[in-house]
Amino acid sequence: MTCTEFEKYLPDLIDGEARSENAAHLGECAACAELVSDLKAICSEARNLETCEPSPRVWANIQRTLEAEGLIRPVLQPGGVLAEPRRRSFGAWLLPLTALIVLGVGALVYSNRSAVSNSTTSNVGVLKPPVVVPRASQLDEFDDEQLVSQVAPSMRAAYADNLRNVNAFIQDAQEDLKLNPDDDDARHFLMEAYEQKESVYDLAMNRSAQ
Amino acid sequence: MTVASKKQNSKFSEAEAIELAKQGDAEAFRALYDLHRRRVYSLCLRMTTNTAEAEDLTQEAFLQLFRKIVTFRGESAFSTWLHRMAVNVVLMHLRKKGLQVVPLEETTETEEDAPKKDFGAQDPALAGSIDRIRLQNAIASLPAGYRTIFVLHDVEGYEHNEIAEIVGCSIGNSKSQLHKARMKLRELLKTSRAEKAIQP
Repeated sequence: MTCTEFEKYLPDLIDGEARSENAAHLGECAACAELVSDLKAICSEARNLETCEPSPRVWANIQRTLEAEGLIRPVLQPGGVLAEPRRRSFGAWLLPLTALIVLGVGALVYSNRSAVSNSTTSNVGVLKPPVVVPRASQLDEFDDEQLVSQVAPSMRAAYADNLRNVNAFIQDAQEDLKLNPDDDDARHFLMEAYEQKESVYDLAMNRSAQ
Repeated sequence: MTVASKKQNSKFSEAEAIELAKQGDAEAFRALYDLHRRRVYSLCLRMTTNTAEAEDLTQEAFLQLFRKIVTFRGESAFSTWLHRMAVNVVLMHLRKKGLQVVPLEETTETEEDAPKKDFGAQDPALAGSIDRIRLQNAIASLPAGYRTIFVLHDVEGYEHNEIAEIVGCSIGNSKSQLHKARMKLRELLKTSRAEKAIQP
Protein backbone atom coordinates (compact mmCIF):
# COMPACT_ATOMS: atom_id res chain seq x y z
CA MET A 1 0.00 0.00 0.00
CA THR A 2 1.29 3.46 -0.88
CA CYS A 3 0.89 6.55 1.27
CA THR A 4 -1.60 8.04 -1.19
CA GLU A 5 -3.73 4.89 -0.99
CA PHE A 6 -3.42 4.88 2.78
CA GLU A 7 -4.72 8.45 2.98
CA LYS A 8 -8.09 7.32 1.62
CA TYR A 9 -8.64 5.27 4.77
CA LEU A 10 -7.43 7.97 7.13
CA PRO A 11 -10.83 9.49 8.00
CA ASP A 12 -12.25 6.14 9.06
CA LEU A 13 -9.04 5.18 10.82
CA ILE A 14 -9.04 8.34 12.94
CA ASP A 15 -12.66 7.70 13.84
CA GLY A 16 -11.84 4.24 15.06
CA GLU A 17 -12.32 1.89 12.14
CA ALA A 18 -9.21 -0.27 11.92
CA ARG A 19 -8.19 -2.38 8.93
CA SER A 20 -5.40 -4.87 8.89
CA GLU A 21 -3.80 -3.43 5.75
CA ASN A 22 -3.74 0.00 7.38
CA ALA A 23 -1.98 -1.35 10.42
CA ALA A 24 0.60 -2.98 8.21
CA HIS A 25 1.34 0.29 6.40
CA LEU A 26 1.58 2.18 9.67
CA GLY A 27 4.14 -0.26 10.86
CA GLU A 28 6.25 0.38 7.78
CA CYS A 29 5.80 4.13 7.25
CA ALA A 30 6.97 6.57 9.95
CA ALA A 31 5.53 9.60 8.16
CA CYS A 32 2.02 8.14 7.99
CA ALA A 33 2.30 6.92 11.57
CA GLU A 34 3.16 10.44 12.66
CA LEU A 35 0.31 11.85 10.57
CA VAL A 36 -2.18 9.52 12.27
CA SER A 37 -0.76 10.41 15.66
CA ASP A 38 -1.10 14.16 14.94
CA LEU A 39 -4.66 13.88 13.68
CA LYS A 40 -5.72 11.82 16.69
CA ALA A 41 -4.14 14.38 18.99
CA ILE A 42 -6.10 17.16 17.28
CA CYS A 43 -9.35 15.24 17.67
CA SER A 44 -8.63 14.49 21.29
CA GLU A 45 -7.87 18.11 22.14
CA ALA A 46 -10.91 19.29 20.21
CA ARG A 47 -13.18 17.13 22.36
CA ASN A 48 -11.71 18.72 25.48
CA LEU A 49 -11.95 22.35 24.46
CA GLU A 50 -13.39 24.43 27.24
CA THR A 51 -16.72 26.13 26.94
CA CYS A 52 -17.04 29.90 27.14
CA GLU A 53 -19.36 32.14 29.11
CA PRO A 54 -21.70 34.56 27.37
CA SER A 55 -22.08 38.03 28.84
CA PRO A 56 -24.99 38.77 31.21
CA ARG A 57 -26.68 40.87 28.52
CA VAL A 58 -27.68 37.68 26.69
CA TRP A 59 -29.95 36.54 29.51
CA ALA A 60 -31.16 40.09 30.11
CA ASN A 61 -32.29 40.31 26.49
CA ILE A 62 -33.89 36.87 26.60
CA GLN A 63 -35.79 37.70 29.77
CA ARG A 64 -36.97 41.02 28.41
CA THR A 65 -38.23 39.36 25.23
CA LEU A 66 -39.97 36.56 27.11
CA GLU A 67 -41.74 39.10 29.30
CA ALA A 68 -42.71 41.22 26.32
CA GLU A 69 -44.14 38.17 24.57
CA GLY A 70 -46.03 37.12 27.70
CA LEU A 71 -44.21 33.81 27.99
CA ILE A 72 -43.24 34.55 31.59
CA ARG A 73 -46.05 34.80 34.11
CA PRO A 74 -45.89 36.47 37.55
CA VAL A 75 -45.08 34.15 40.43
CA LEU A 76 -48.07 33.23 42.61
CA GLN A 77 -47.67 33.01 46.37
CA PRO A 78 -49.65 30.51 48.43
CA GLY A 79 -53.28 31.55 48.52
CA GLY A 80 -53.18 32.71 44.94
CA VAL A 81 -52.05 36.19 45.80
CA LEU A 82 -49.87 37.73 43.19
CA ALA A 83 -46.51 38.61 44.67
CA GLU A 84 -45.44 41.38 42.41
CA PRO A 85 -41.91 42.53 42.93
CA ARG A 86 -41.58 45.68 44.95
CA ARG A 87 -41.66 48.53 42.57
CA ARG A 88 -38.89 50.30 44.28
CA SER A 89 -36.17 49.71 46.74
CA PHE A 90 -37.44 51.68 49.65
CA GLY A 91 -33.98 52.23 50.99
CA ALA A 92 -33.35 54.19 47.80
CA TRP A 93 -35.89 56.76 48.89
CA LEU A 94 -34.25 57.55 52.16
CA LEU A 95 -30.97 59.00 51.01
CA PRO A 96 -32.27 61.51 48.45
CA LEU A 97 -35.18 62.46 50.69
CA THR A 98 -32.91 62.98 53.66
CA ALA A 99 -30.55 65.01 51.49
CA LEU A 100 -33.45 67.17 50.36
CA ILE A 101 -34.55 67.76 53.92
CA VAL A 102 -31.01 68.63 55.02
CA LEU A 103 -30.68 71.04 52.11
CA GLY A 104 -34.07 72.42 52.98
CA VAL A 105 -33.02 72.99 56.58
CA GLY A 106 -29.80 74.62 55.44
CA ALA A 107 -31.64 76.90 53.06
CA LEU A 108 -34.14 77.74 55.76
CA VAL A 109 -31.41 78.74 58.19
CA TYR A 110 -29.73 80.86 55.52
CA SER A 111 -32.91 82.59 54.42
CA ASN A 112 -33.99 83.07 58.02
CA ARG A 113 -30.79 84.97 58.77
CA SER A 114 -31.24 87.04 55.59
CA ALA A 115 -34.87 87.81 56.43
CA VAL A 116 -33.96 88.89 59.94
CA SER A 117 -31.17 91.16 58.71
CA ASN A 118 -33.23 92.70 55.89
CA SER A 119 -36.58 93.15 57.50
CA THR A 120 -37.25 94.77 60.84
CA THR A 121 -40.89 95.71 60.83
CA SER A 122 -42.67 93.94 57.94
CA ASN A 123 -44.07 90.43 58.30
CA VAL A 124 -45.73 90.32 54.91
CA GLY A 125 -45.63 86.87 53.30
CA VAL A 126 -43.61 85.33 56.15
CA LEU A 127 -45.46 85.24 59.41
CA LYS A 128 -48.71 83.30 59.61
CA PRO A 129 -50.83 82.32 62.54
CA PRO A 130 -49.46 79.15 64.14
CA VAL A 131 -50.90 75.94 62.69
CA VAL A 132 -51.38 72.72 64.59
CA VAL A 133 -49.45 70.01 62.76
CA PRO A 134 -51.77 67.05 62.10
CA ARG A 135 -50.58 63.46 62.16
CA ALA A 136 -48.85 62.66 58.86
CA SER A 137 -51.17 59.78 58.09
CA GLN A 138 -54.12 62.16 58.07
CA LEU A 139 -52.52 64.72 55.81
CA ASP A 140 -53.80 65.03 52.30
CA GLU A 141 -53.16 67.13 49.23
CA PHE A 142 -55.11 70.09 50.61
CA ASP A 143 -52.93 70.09 53.69
CA ASP A 144 -49.82 69.90 51.55
CA GLU A 145 -50.94 72.86 49.46
CA GLN A 146 -51.68 74.83 52.58
CA LEU A 147 -48.26 74.02 53.97
CA VAL A 148 -46.43 75.06 50.83
CA SER A 149 -48.41 78.30 50.72
CA GLN A 150 -47.30 79.10 54.24
CA VAL A 151 -43.57 79.02 53.59
CA ALA A 152 -41.56 81.79 52.02
CA PRO A 153 -41.93 81.99 48.23
CA SER A 154 -38.23 81.29 47.78
CA MET A 155 -38.62 77.97 49.58
CA ARG A 156 -41.88 76.79 48.06
CA ALA A 157 -40.35 74.84 45.19
CA ALA A 158 -38.07 72.92 47.55
CA TYR A 159 -40.93 72.07 49.89
CA ALA A 160 -43.19 71.08 47.04
CA ASP A 161 -40.47 68.73 45.81
CA ASN A 162 -39.96 67.29 49.26
CA LEU A 163 -43.67 66.67 49.65
CA ARG A 164 -43.94 65.06 46.21
CA ASN A 165 -41.13 62.66 47.03
CA VAL A 166 -42.35 61.75 50.46
CA ASN A 167 -45.91 61.27 49.19
CA ALA A 168 -44.65 58.89 46.52
CA PHE A 169 -42.71 57.05 49.21
CA ILE A 170 -45.85 56.77 51.31
CA GLN A 171 -47.90 55.55 48.36
CA ASP A 172 -45.39 52.83 47.48
CA ALA A 173 -45.16 51.74 51.08
CA GLN A 174 -48.96 51.62 51.39
CA GLU A 175 -49.31 49.49 48.26
CA ASP A 176 -46.60 47.16 49.38
CA LEU A 177 -48.21 46.73 52.79
CA LYS A 178 -51.55 46.03 51.13
CA LEU A 179 -49.98 43.23 49.11
CA ASN A 180 -47.93 41.94 52.02
CA PRO A 181 -49.91 42.71 55.18
CA ASP A 182 -47.73 40.44 57.29
CA ASP A 183 -44.46 41.90 56.07
CA ASP A 184 -42.67 43.73 58.89
CA ASP A 185 -40.39 45.51 56.45
CA ALA A 186 -43.35 46.94 54.56
CA ARG A 187 -44.87 48.18 57.81
CA HIS A 188 -41.55 49.67 58.91
CA PHE A 189 -41.10 51.52 55.62
CA LEU A 190 -44.59 52.97 55.81
CA MET A 191 -43.93 54.28 59.30
CA GLU A 192 -40.66 55.78 58.10
CA ALA A 193 -42.44 57.44 55.21
CA TYR A 194 -44.96 59.03 57.58
CA GLU A 195 -42.14 60.18 59.84
CA GLN A 196 -40.42 61.76 56.86
CA LYS A 197 -43.59 63.65 56.03
CA GLU A 198 -43.92 64.81 59.61
CA SER A 199 -40.35 66.08 59.44
CA VAL A 200 -41.15 68.09 56.34
CA TYR A 201 -44.17 69.56 58.07
CA ASP A 202 -42.19 70.28 61.24
CA LEU A 203 -39.55 72.11 59.26
CA ALA A 204 -42.12 74.17 57.47
CA MET A 205 -44.02 74.93 60.66
CA ASN A 206 -40.89 75.94 62.52
CA ARG A 207 -40.07 78.29 59.71
CA SER A 208 -43.56 79.71 59.63
CA ALA A 209 -43.63 80.23 63.36
CA GLN A 210 -40.49 82.36 63.37
CA MET B 1 -24.06 12.85 21.09
CA THR B 2 -24.13 12.44 24.84
CA VAL B 3 -27.42 12.89 26.56
CA ALA B 4 -27.43 15.63 29.15
CA SER B 5 -29.98 15.22 31.87
CA LYS B 6 -28.41 16.37 35.04
CA LYS B 7 -29.55 17.64 38.37
CA GLN B 8 -28.50 21.18 38.92
CA ASN B 9 -27.43 23.06 41.99
CA SER B 10 -30.66 25.08 41.69
CA LYS B 11 -33.88 24.11 43.33
CA PHE B 12 -35.18 21.86 40.55
CA SER B 13 -33.94 19.30 38.05
CA GLU B 14 -33.92 19.83 34.31
CA ALA B 15 -37.13 17.81 33.94
CA GLU B 16 -38.86 19.90 36.59
CA ALA B 17 -37.56 23.10 35.04
CA ILE B 18 -38.96 22.08 31.67
CA GLU B 19 -42.42 21.43 33.08
CA LEU B 20 -42.42 24.68 35.02
CA ALA B 21 -41.13 26.62 32.02
CA LYS B 22 -44.08 25.30 30.02
CA GLN B 23 -46.25 27.05 32.58
CA GLY B 24 -44.29 30.27 32.22
CA ASP B 25 -42.21 30.09 35.38
CA ALA B 26 -39.45 32.68 35.15
CA GLU B 27 -37.06 30.85 37.43
CA ALA B 28 -37.48 27.70 35.39
CA PHE B 29 -36.50 29.51 32.19
CA ARG B 30 -33.47 30.89 33.95
CA ALA B 31 -32.50 27.47 35.25
CA LEU B 32 -32.64 25.96 31.77
CA TYR B 33 -30.62 28.82 30.38
CA ASP B 34 -27.97 28.45 33.10
CA LEU B 35 -27.73 24.74 32.46
CA HIS B 36 -27.05 25.04 28.76
CA ARG B 37 -25.77 28.53 28.07
CA ARG B 38 -22.04 27.73 27.95
CA ARG B 39 -22.35 24.91 25.48
CA VAL B 40 -24.70 26.80 23.17
CA TYR B 41 -22.61 29.95 23.28
CA SER B 42 -19.38 28.04 22.69
CA LEU B 43 -20.87 26.34 19.67
CA CYS B 44 -22.01 29.68 18.25
CA LEU B 45 -18.65 31.27 18.97
CA ARG B 46 -16.61 28.52 17.37
CA MET B 47 -18.71 28.53 14.25
CA THR B 48 -18.84 32.31 13.82
CA THR B 49 -15.53 33.34 15.50
CA ASN B 50 -17.26 36.58 16.53
CA THR B 51 -18.36 37.20 20.12
CA ALA B 52 -21.10 39.70 19.31
CA GLU B 53 -22.62 37.44 16.66
CA ALA B 54 -22.25 34.44 18.94
CA GLU B 55 -24.16 36.22 21.73
CA ASP B 56 -26.94 37.27 19.36
CA LEU B 57 -27.23 33.75 18.03
CA THR B 58 -27.22 32.28 21.53
CA GLN B 59 -30.04 34.59 22.44
CA GLU B 60 -31.96 33.62 19.32
CA ALA B 61 -31.47 29.91 19.90
CA PHE B 62 -32.80 30.11 23.45
CA LEU B 63 -35.72 32.29 22.44
CA GLN B 64 -36.71 29.82 19.74
CA LEU B 65 -36.46 27.03 22.25
CA PHE B 66 -38.50 28.81 24.91
CA ARG B 67 -41.20 29.77 22.42
CA LYS B 68 -41.57 26.12 21.44
CA ILE B 69 -41.03 24.55 24.83
CA VAL B 70 -44.69 23.67 25.25
CA THR B 71 -44.30 21.29 22.31
CA PHE B 72 -41.42 19.38 23.87
CA ARG B 73 -42.63 15.86 24.66
CA GLY B 74 -39.40 14.29 25.78
CA GLU B 75 -38.92 11.93 22.84
CA SER B 76 -35.33 13.08 22.62
CA ALA B 77 -33.03 14.62 25.18
CA PHE B 78 -33.73 18.27 25.84
CA SER B 79 -30.09 19.16 25.31
CA THR B 80 -30.12 17.45 21.94
CA TRP B 81 -33.18 19.43 20.93
CA LEU B 82 -31.66 22.70 22.07
CA HIS B 83 -28.34 21.96 20.48
CA ARG B 84 -29.85 21.10 17.14
CA MET B 85 -31.82 24.32 17.28
CA ALA B 86 -28.66 26.29 17.99
CA VAL B 87 -26.84 24.66 15.09
CA ASN B 88 -29.68 25.52 12.73
CA VAL B 89 -29.72 29.10 13.95
CA VAL B 90 -25.99 29.44 13.32
CA LEU B 91 -26.09 27.80 9.91
CA MET B 92 -28.95 30.01 8.82
CA HIS B 93 -26.95 33.01 9.94
CA LEU B 94 -23.88 31.87 8.04
CA ARG B 95 -25.91 31.25 4.91
CA LYS B 96 -27.42 34.72 5.16
CA LYS B 97 -23.93 36.12 5.31
CA GLY B 98 -23.19 34.33 2.07
CA LEU B 99 -20.65 31.99 3.59
CA GLN B 100 -20.35 28.52 2.11
CA VAL B 101 -21.34 26.36 5.02
CA VAL B 102 -19.98 23.20 3.41
CA PRO B 103 -18.02 23.13 0.17
CA LEU B 104 -20.17 21.13 -2.21
CA GLU B 105 -17.37 19.94 -4.40
CA GLU B 106 -13.74 19.37 -3.81
CA THR B 107 -12.79 21.48 -6.78
CA THR B 108 -14.35 24.66 -5.36
CA GLU B 109 -11.74 25.13 -2.67
CA THR B 110 -8.83 27.43 -3.37
CA GLU B 111 -5.25 26.35 -3.39
CA GLU B 112 -4.73 28.35 -0.23
CA ASP B 113 -7.53 26.54 1.57
CA ALA B 114 -6.51 23.06 0.55
CA PRO B 115 -4.29 21.30 3.07
CA LYS B 116 -0.87 20.48 1.77
CA LYS B 117 -0.17 16.83 1.23
CA ASP B 118 3.11 16.33 2.93
CA PHE B 119 3.89 12.79 3.77
CA GLY B 120 7.53 13.53 4.26
CA ALA B 121 7.13 16.03 7.08
CA GLN B 122 10.35 16.75 8.98
CA ASP B 123 8.61 18.52 11.88
CA PRO B 124 8.23 16.81 15.23
CA ALA B 125 4.90 15.19 16.01
CA LEU B 126 2.11 17.38 17.38
CA ALA B 127 0.96 14.89 19.98
CA GLY B 128 1.65 16.29 23.43
CA SER B 129 2.38 19.80 22.18
CA ILE B 130 -1.04 21.11 21.20
CA ASP B 131 -2.22 23.82 23.55
CA ARG B 132 -5.87 24.72 23.55
CA ILE B 133 -5.39 28.39 22.76
CA ARG B 134 -3.45 27.59 19.61
CA LEU B 135 -6.01 25.00 18.64
CA GLN B 136 -8.85 27.46 19.14
CA ASN B 137 -7.02 30.04 17.06
CA ALA B 138 -6.35 27.46 14.37
CA ILE B 139 -10.02 26.45 14.28
CA ALA B 140 -10.98 30.10 13.93
CA SER B 141 -8.58 30.35 10.99
CA LEU B 142 -10.19 27.52 9.06
CA PRO B 143 -12.35 28.33 6.04
CA ALA B 144 -16.00 28.45 7.05
CA GLY B 145 -16.92 25.16 5.40
CA TYR B 146 -14.12 23.18 7.07
CA ARG B 147 -14.77 24.90 10.36
CA THR B 148 -18.45 23.99 10.39
CA ILE B 149 -17.84 20.30 9.83
CA PHE B 150 -14.92 20.13 12.24
CA VAL B 151 -16.78 21.90 15.04
CA LEU B 152 -19.89 19.79 14.57
CA HIS B 153 -18.00 16.48 14.46
CA ASP B 154 -14.86 16.73 16.53
CA VAL B 155 -15.89 19.41 19.03
CA GLU B 156 -19.62 18.87 19.39
CA GLY B 157 -19.72 15.16 18.68
CA TYR B 158 -22.25 14.92 15.88
CA GLU B 159 -22.04 11.84 13.65
CA HIS B 160 -21.61 12.17 9.89
CA ASN B 161 -25.16 11.09 9.16
CA GLU B 162 -26.43 13.84 11.50
CA ILE B 163 -24.12 16.44 9.97
CA ALA B 164 -25.23 15.45 6.49
CA GLU B 165 -28.85 15.98 7.49
CA ILE B 166 -28.19 19.26 9.27
CA VAL B 167 -26.05 20.97 6.66
CA GLY B 168 -27.57 19.33 3.62
CA CYS B 169 -24.67 17.38 2.20
CA SER B 170 -23.82 13.73 1.67
CA ILE B 171 -22.17 11.58 4.32
CA GLY B 172 -19.20 11.15 2.02
CA ASN B 173 -18.83 14.90 1.64
CA SER B 174 -19.01 15.35 5.41
CA LYS B 175 -16.21 12.80 5.88
CA SER B 176 -14.12 14.32 3.14
CA GLN B 177 -14.45 17.85 4.47
CA LEU B 178 -13.68 16.71 7.99
CA HIS B 179 -10.50 15.05 6.84
CA LYS B 180 -9.42 18.20 5.03
CA ALA B 181 -10.25 20.31 8.08
CA ARG B 182 -8.06 18.11 10.26
CA MET B 183 -5.20 18.18 7.76
CA LYS B 184 -5.47 21.96 7.53
CA LEU B 185 -5.44 22.26 11.30
CA ARG B 186 -2.34 20.11 11.45
CA GLU B 187 -0.66 22.41 8.99
CA LEU B 188 -1.74 25.53 10.90
CA LEU B 189 -0.60 24.12 14.22
CA LYS B 190 2.80 23.13 12.89
CA THR B 191 3.23 26.56 11.31
CA SER B 192 2.18 28.26 14.53
CA ARG B 193 4.58 26.15 16.55
CA ALA B 194 7.43 26.88 14.15
CA GLU B 195 6.73 30.62 14.31
CA LYS B 196 6.71 30.51 18.08
CA ALA B 197 10.00 28.63 18.11
CA ILE B 198 11.85 31.28 16.09
CA GLN B 199 10.52 34.24 18.11
CA PRO B 200 13.12 35.86 20.30
